[in-house]
Amino acid sequence: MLERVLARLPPASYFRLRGVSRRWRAAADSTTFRAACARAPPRDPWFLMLQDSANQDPAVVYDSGERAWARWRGSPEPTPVAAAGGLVLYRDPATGELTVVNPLTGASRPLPSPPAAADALQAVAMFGSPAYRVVLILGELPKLSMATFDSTTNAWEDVVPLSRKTYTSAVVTANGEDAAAAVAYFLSRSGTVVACDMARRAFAELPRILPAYHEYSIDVVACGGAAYAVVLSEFLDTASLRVWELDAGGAWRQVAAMPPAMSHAFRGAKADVNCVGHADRVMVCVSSGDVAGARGCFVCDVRTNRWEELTCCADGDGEEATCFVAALSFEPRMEAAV
Amino acid sequence: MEVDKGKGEAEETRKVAEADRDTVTLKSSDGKLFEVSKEAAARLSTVLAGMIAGGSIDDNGTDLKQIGSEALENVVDYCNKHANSIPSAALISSSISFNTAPFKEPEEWERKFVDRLSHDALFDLVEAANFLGMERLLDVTCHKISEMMKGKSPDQIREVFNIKNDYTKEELEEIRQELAWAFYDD
Repeated sequence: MLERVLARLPPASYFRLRGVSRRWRAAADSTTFRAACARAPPRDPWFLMLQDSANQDPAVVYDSGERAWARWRGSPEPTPVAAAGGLVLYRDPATGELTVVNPLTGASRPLPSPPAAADALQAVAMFGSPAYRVVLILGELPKLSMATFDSTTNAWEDVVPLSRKTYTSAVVTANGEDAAAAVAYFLSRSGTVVACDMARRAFAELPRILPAYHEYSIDVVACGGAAYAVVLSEFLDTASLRVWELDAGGAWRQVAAMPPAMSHAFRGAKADVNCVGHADRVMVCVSSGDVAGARGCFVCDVRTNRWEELTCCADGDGEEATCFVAALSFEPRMEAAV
Repeated sequence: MEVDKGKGEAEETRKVAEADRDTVTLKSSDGKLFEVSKEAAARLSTVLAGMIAGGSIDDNGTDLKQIGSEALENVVDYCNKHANSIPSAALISSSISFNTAPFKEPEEWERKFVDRLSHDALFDLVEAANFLGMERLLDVTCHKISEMMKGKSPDQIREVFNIKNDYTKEELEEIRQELAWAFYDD
């Protein structure tokens, strides 16, 4: 019964309470506890925030359920590159080796070496839960190919070329359950959003949102079964930050905009946006190359257009606002098997 | 299970009468009698469903020696409230395919039902629900207890739940260190 109760707790609370007694700590290893965890409703996501690699500080985790920040004890290398369900994918930038980790328990599984390919790596996608797939998108536009790893067979499939489509068909985003319909979105080097339909082995470059000459920073997010682009632009002497949703017809539709009073601070800051989503929430990290520039972390509920600025983590000396250059979200799941 | 072979026809007649009734009578460890809807009891408790199907329900009060009167009153109250509330599809499915179906949040009346209980009454009810194989009630009560735990420190938990700290200082430090991450406010 204790296991059933503990499985209901948000993971951070459970970890804190392992210190109550030996029995409470031992509960985590029981099958009862894992079975009860698997029945728990969706957990509030954790956001794994990465800082500039020049910065020696370790990565930081934001627990959106408890609104608490945690410092990542893991070594700064290799770099987390993708996440699905309760798992995070790490890639060693030097060797290209991939490892799947449950960040909660520390359980890890090195993946077999991906098929050798001379092409440059464009994007890494991971989807599906509990069985998952890892997809590497390789090459240069307009010639792309993909390599797929399947956790159930523990093997890579052969590299296949992706055919180019003009954007006509409806796009469905993988929402965990329906891995077959997965579409990966990434930013090409030229700043256009590329959609890769992994089932149909096809890709398309999506229409631009703003004319190229508007100075802006863009990032693309797929969550809750939809794809969004977050765009920071400067126009008429102010800065605006807007969220656009890709509709079924392949057109961008604005769904949320940061209140001007909040976004105005980014005017002239040469700021960069890095985003990650989970369900209806998109986390937007604004960083600035300019030391004195405005920065911050915001969570936007794309259904209600509500914006909230996160109070930044106080890391001891605490004064300096942190610059996050990338973020990943995962669902804290004790029972997620690598 | 006791099978009484010596009572003959009178017993048979009583069993038929029992089968026709739409309530069953349950007897607590301290001898108090409670009536509960047979349909709800069978639907919500795997143990009572087995007893009803197996004919081991006693008209004069089926003995539940492990359950005190206060806990049994709450069990019966829960069953009857459940019978009266429009059973939602969620609850029905969770009572049939228990243990693997995703946990459904307590409904408003279930929340109120457990909120009014004292600590002791709540723990006794968890035990009773476990004994009677009442998956949904177990879910709802365990959920309530976990809510009581949220945001509390280990020290506070030990106090509220009367638990002895059997760790050494070194072990506690080791537990803090073994996580891949550390919260700033810990």
